[in-house]
Amino acid sequence: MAENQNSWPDLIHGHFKRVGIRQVGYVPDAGHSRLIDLCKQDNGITDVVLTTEEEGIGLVAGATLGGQRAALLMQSSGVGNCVNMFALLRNCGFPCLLLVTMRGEYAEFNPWQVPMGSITEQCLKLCGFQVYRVNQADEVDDVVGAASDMAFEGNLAVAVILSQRLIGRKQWVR
Amino acid sequence: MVSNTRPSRADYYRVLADALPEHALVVTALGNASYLWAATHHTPENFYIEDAMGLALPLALGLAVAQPTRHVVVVEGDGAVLMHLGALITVGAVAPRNLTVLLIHNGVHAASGGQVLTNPALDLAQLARSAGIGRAENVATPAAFDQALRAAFAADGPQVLVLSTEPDLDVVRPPITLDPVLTKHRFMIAIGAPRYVPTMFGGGRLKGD
Repeated sequence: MAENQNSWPDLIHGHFKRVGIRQVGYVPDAGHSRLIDLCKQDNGITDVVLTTEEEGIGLVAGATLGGQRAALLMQSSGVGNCVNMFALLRNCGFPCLLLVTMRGEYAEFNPWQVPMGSITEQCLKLCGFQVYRVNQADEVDDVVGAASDMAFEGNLAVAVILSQRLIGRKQWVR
Repeated sequence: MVSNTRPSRADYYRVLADALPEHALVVTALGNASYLWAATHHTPENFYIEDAMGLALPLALGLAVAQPTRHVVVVEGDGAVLMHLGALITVGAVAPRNLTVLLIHNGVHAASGGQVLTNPALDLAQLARSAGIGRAENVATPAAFDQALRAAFAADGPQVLVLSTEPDLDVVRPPITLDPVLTKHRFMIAIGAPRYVPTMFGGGRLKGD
């Protein structure tokens, strides 16, 4: 994928700036690598490399309590790690913008990824998230913009599923 | 027979209440960590977490980043920190200068009845240093805690103080409600955190009207 201002990670970063995201928590992830780089290079954003995704829920809560907006980036497997922690968002009514890169779906070559990937979306809904899915790059700007507004103006937990079709087919080369 | 020589959580909390700098924010984990702190020193600048174990540290981290001009103190239990040990590494990596971590080291899960931890004798200060938090020490008396705490507030953090504590299994009745939404609003209003104002109530109008 070309790394330019119109690539989908750049569009997401643009929405981070538009809605005033000041903290971004993430576990290093190939699908989010461009967006992570953009956040690291952004002096207006504190990027926090988490050891595990669960910490990100606490980070978002603390940022919100302190008056800052925060976003989380994770892979679908991380959603499974977070289930118990998501309760904090619902208990206290914290807004949360969560961007999830998918594994275990479209053209997945690794069967180990499928069990969690196949329940990620339902899992998020059960945990109280409003969930939107993006399959094509030309949907990113609109959907992430809508999700950002809904999270912070609607004061809700909102997740955007970035599908494996969007991220690009992973190929296992022999 | 093991003698009961360790200080109580209340002994340490009295020192903390006396030493807290002006405008400090305090985050406490579930159970008596919150109940007793509410009974000892309730202010709106306290955030009591009755939620998942291990969340207090990362929450305090996000708060410390968002409020860099205030001291943030987090009280976490040894059992909870063992559940999410990685949070110490994250705190060490971000290294907020205004964060002080107090670990109640009683060797048990006190909030659930006193079950002994996987390794109750772990050197948590050494662990914190290995996690990248340079200033970390074990403390065994209220007097030593008072000295270490005042030094911590006077220096750049983050720092970890591990408090050797006698388990307190009797549940303290907090004097205030710990309702999560109320606790959140009470805290955010007290510190003047920018609050969500819906566009429709902020003097705007629908586009095209």
